[in-house]
Amino acid sequence: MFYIDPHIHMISRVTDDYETLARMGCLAVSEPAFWAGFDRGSVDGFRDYFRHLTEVEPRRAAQFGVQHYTWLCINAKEAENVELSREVIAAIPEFLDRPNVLGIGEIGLNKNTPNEATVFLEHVELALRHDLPILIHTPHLEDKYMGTRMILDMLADFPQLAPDRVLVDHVEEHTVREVLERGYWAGMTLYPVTKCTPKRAADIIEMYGTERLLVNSAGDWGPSKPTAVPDFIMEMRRRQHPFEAIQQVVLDNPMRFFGQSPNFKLQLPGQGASVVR
Amino acid sequence: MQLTPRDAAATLEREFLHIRARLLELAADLDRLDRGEGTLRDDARMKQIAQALQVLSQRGPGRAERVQMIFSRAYDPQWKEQFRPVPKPR
Ligand SMILES: [Zn+2]
Repeated sequence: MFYIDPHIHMISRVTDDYETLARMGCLAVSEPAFWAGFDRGSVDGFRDYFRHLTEVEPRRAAQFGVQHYTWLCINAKEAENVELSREVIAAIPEFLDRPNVLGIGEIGLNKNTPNEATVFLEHVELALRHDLPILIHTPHLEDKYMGTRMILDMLADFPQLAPDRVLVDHVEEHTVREVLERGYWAGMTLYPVTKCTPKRAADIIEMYGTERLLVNSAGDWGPSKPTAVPDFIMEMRRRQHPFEAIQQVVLDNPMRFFGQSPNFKLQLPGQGASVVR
Repeated sequence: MQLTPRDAAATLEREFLHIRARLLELAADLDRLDRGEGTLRDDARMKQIAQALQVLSQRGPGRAERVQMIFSRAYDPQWKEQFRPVPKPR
């Protein structure tokens, strides 16, 4: 089954993973900017990272027929440094016309601090200025509930921001309802231990339906599995859910959300022309 | 699209051995904590585990969501009052 992995950090993965994803039916990946495992020392460190996301990864992906898209920002963890964050936010427009950039992300909160909230708000302003969609990271574990509610409170202060231009990622059982009820897209991250499992993601789809819900592997340098989306597909098939329902979650929904970006032009296999839905 | 509910008996048929295996795993985890040297009586995480086990033995629905909330910091609706955005340099 063809699918899109809407959140995966290919910079941390080996080239073999691209080949495996292609064999599994992955047509495209989207890679939000994130924490490198260490705090970068300067705005030029981010410029190099953005070059990697917009030059190196698309080339690596293309070798296997996988299309690579990306989102730019300074992540919530490094946002604790407000001065550096402001320099990075000022540098991001240098990269926004690169052909694989979809929008601003993954912005959000990590430990729910005032500095993180400040930088989050300034990223939302940046996205609005450039009329781009937003991909949002919600905090881990015990901070997720409070952080998700704070993010929703802050988004509500932007009446000019259309909810369907925003994807709130890493939702779980206790945060998904609020996100969907307010009209945002919701992403479920399939992790072995700390987020959703393929089974629990399938449960959430059974309870909330297939509208505006996405699943991703968020594969990175930590314990994660780049083929987690196919695991979810397997779980849905095991439960004998209809093909159309599965395809909506793993292909149609990412296409609809990403399709709001002028740069998203998914090439379906066997189709010369690009299609945007 | 809303999905039609799965048949409960078929779901039990498919899940029973997995549920049994995970209950055993959990029982053994708790035994291991008991066998260890020292006391965990004052560790707040032990209280969370005990609360979560209670939720499992209650009737549904929404047990997964309730367990999530046991392991979550509470939402403070007044949070903005303590959060002044860092002023922008002029
Ligand atoms: Zn991520």
